[in-house]
Amino acid sequence: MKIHIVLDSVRDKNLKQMKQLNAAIFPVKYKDKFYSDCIACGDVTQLAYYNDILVGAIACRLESKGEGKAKLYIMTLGVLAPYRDLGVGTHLLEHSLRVAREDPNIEEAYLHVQTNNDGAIRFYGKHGFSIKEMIPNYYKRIDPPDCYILHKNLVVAVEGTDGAE
Amino acid sequence: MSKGKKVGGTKLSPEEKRQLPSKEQSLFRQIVKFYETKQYKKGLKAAEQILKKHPEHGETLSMKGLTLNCLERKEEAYEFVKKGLRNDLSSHVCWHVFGLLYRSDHDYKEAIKCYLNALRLDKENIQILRDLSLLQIQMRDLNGFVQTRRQLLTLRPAQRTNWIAFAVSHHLVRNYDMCLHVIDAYEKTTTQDTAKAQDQKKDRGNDSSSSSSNNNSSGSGSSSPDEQFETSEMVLYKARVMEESKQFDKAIGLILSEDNKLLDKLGAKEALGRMYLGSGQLDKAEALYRELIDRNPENTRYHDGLFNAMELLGVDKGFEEDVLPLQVRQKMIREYEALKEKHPKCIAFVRRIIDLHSCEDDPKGENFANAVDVYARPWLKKGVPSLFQSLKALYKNDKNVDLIGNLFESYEKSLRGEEKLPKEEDKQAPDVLVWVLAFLAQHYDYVGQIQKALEKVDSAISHTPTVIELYTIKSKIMKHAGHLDSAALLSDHARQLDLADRYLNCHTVKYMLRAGQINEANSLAVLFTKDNVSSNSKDEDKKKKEKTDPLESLKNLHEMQCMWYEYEIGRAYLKLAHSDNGFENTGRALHKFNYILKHFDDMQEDQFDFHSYCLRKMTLRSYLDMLKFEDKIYAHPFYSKGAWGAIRCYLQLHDDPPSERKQKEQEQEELMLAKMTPNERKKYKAKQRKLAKQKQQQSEAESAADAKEGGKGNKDTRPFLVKEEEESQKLLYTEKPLEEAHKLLQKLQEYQKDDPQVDTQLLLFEWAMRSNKLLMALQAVRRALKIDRKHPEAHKAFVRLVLENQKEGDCKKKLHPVVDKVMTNYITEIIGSASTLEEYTKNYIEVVGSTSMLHGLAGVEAMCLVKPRENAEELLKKNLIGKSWFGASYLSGRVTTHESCEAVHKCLQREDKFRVLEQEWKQNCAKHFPYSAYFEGSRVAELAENPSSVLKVQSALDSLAIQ
Repeated sequence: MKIHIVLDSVRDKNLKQMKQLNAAIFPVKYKDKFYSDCIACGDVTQLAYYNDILVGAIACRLESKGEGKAKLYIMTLGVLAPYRDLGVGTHLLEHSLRVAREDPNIEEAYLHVQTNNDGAIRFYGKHGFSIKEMIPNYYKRIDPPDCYILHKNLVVAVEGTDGAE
Repeated sequence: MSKGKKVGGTKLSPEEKRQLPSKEQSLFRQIVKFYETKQYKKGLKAAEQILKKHPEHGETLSMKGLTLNCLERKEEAYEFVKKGLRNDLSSHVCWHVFGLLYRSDHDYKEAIKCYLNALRLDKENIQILRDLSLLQIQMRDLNGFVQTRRQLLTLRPAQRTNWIAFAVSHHLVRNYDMCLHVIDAYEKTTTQDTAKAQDQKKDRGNDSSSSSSNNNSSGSGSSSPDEQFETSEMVLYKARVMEESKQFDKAIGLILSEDNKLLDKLGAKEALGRMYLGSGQLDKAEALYRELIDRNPENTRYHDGLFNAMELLGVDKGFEEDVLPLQVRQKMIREYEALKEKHPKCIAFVRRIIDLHSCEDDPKGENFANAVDVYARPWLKKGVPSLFQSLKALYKNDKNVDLIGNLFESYEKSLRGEEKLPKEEDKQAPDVLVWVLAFLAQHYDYVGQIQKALEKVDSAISHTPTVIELYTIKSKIMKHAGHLDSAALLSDHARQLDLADRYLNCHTVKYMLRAGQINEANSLAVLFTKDNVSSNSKDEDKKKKEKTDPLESLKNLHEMQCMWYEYEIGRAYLKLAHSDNGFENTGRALHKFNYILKHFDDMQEDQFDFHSYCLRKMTLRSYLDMLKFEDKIYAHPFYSKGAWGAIRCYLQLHDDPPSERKQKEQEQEELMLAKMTPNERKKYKAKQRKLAKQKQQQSEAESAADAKEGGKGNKDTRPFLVKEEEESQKLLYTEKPLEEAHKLLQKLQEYQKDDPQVDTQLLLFEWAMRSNKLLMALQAVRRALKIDRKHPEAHKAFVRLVLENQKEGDCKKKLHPVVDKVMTNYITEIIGSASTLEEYTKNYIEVVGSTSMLHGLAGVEAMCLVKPRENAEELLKKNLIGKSWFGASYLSGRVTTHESCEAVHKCLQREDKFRVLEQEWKQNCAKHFPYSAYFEGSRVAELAENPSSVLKVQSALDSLAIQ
């Protein structure tokens, strides 16, 4: 079963909704800097609405690589528990990657993921991400503290993501 | 002003006195011209030039006054106008000017008098006649209006407006035939004119005879859109006049024959439907209403029309399912089922089917439950938050409530189990469960099961915490639970989730005001005002705005006639006045309520411009609708609410005059001073002086700054809130508060004739008791009891009154024997079969007392008044404290509100001897309302320590998501 999703960007008027969503999904409380980054980086951060209800969000940031090049860093991607496995995450990730690809200066996308989060690793794998390296003791408050860096090249046309879930 | 004194014979005739030399004459003409072109300063100069040579010239003095009025120099204006009139009583100009002055001050009654005087002196002055007619219709002097319009028509028969207005004037005095006759006469003249004109144009000359009159007016190709509209409106207006005079067949004939000219096809169809019904042509009516239903199936007026035509509903009867016989209801259901086939998407049919099933005797209520089931499913799937709102009207008896509750519980169970709605194959989206839970939360809240309601809403929030409505629902539940601060906090949380939502902003303002957080509420209320929203105009403006207090924009709310806000803030102040003893708050409350009253005066005033506009533009049907609306405007619920609030303030000011309070405070201060040692006294006085000086300096600095900033004219530039406060304080010293209250009461009574309100009668009672008018008090109680025979306050009032009447006091002696007799008759009429007041009260307790807590309380309180020495504790125990009010049934749950529990407690607190009972009651209520701040329930401490804990719900979510 798939549900019809409508995307919207984050503004100061609806920011609190994203905070509410993240508080329900993630064990970490994000600082204000996180959210100001989201608003500053424009369309790569998106909210997913189903039936006018916020059910998921992707938060990304653009990081400079020097020489006018940049990379897309996916800070969070989360969907409310009852609305998982309905294609919301895929919808969000594909949107952000598409926006990033439109800008030729954005060459790659990457993210951190806890080493035991098999579900996430599988999900990103399906979308063309691969493990680049492992950073021990990345997290301070959660166990295991280690993380992987998942990485995807955006320049070489690897249209390997057909949205299958 | 004395009534138009005639100027007798004088030495120098008035005409001679009035005559100016030619130079001044032309100057005078200039004054008039300057006035008309709004060049007031030039006008003033010209007037002064004349007055230099002719200081007593009446008309010039008057014109000078009128000009001054436009320069906002009111007092001088009246002075000059009156002086001018005194000097030249036989000048129609002076009278006309005086009338204009009154008119500009909206004193239309006086203005009419002046105009009539002016007309006596200058009978055919079109301008004055026209002005007069406007005033007369504004004041609903209908007979005067007819006469003035007749005169205008006689003087200027060539103008269409004069014909139309004359016809309308007859319509208003219900002289329908004359009205139609005038229109016909007018139409004949125009058809002749146009016919002539066409004849002249036509050179063919073949068919210029009888048939041409038919063609030319309907030849829509040649006439402009305006003309087409006017023709159409004229026909429909005529039809309406015929309808009102019950000439249905004639009206039908008219509409059918002129059909091709009509632009408002829908209005014509609706009129035709009513008229077929009126004339008894039911077959045609039925066909027509079916056609209308096909156009808009959601319009229930068409349903009623159809049922009228099918003789399922009586003539002019609306749809009230409770009084319809079973057979009729069944027929209607069958009809609706058939209509549903044709319009499967229509909501109104399905909703009406529920209504029809809701009063069936069937104990299982299967039909009813099925009907609700059919109705609710699509709403749940779509996620429509107002589902409960649309079903609330069905909560009339416990059986229905049970059935609805069970139905939704079954939804929840089935969705939690297999994610499906009962009897359906498809899996539902996850949010359907949220809406079911939201419904159940509102359901349990409505029937007083607060704990269950909270469970449901919390469960919904933990499922999908991003549904904003859930927080507003929960905030309402917390309000009913007796924790207003939490209610405000929850509402504010909802608001923050969507800062662009005005509704959520208003909701929070209201809830903050309920919680007495007036400043917080105000700082939110300004967010959506005009000044704040559209502030991106110019940089200069922006800079200015930054300097001023944002609360300055509160005045926008009053300008926009935002009455819910004014009412809520007035209420909040009144509540403060009661609890904190801060008597200034009574003034503030009164000031806010006065805004509401003022808005209605403005709305009444606003119609003025439409009298000439509508007649000119030929929007006759809407004009008449507007007149009808304005006639009833003071019967609007918001006017009543505002007036009741204001009356309560006045009564309070009468009972506890602030001037006496101040005096008492002073006396206390003196006492305190007397107790002090001389040294202490010196210190104290020095301190007071210092404070006073500081205050003065501050206000001086402020006014100096204001003067600097806005040096333009003499406009008031002080900050809005300062002005508000000053005006509020002034109201505290209203000279005769009872008289002010009486004025409002009279207006309320006049306008509520068709729909009398208990509250008005009870306040009238309170007023009459304070004014020593026992008969009026009794009449008020009698009317109140007629509206609601069981009303607790009315019952108590009655007992109070009878006791007062039995007193051998001063007021009793003053009663006229006839009045006394009338009173005795009324009293025996109300007491009825009971032999004494005591027995009457006893009966009340027994028969009515268990209706609700407040009824019980009123019974006991009344008994305490009748028999002060009786064992009141026992009475209370038996009839109030000992009864199981909580959770006996759904509907009793609805009336056992926190508010009524509080009322009982406050009554118990009043007497020391009720100590034990009071404690018992408090504990009882605290148990039932664990969140009650008033009863100090068990959950309150936790909320006090951490207010935002009300936002948290136990999260049943697995904590880690993807990543």
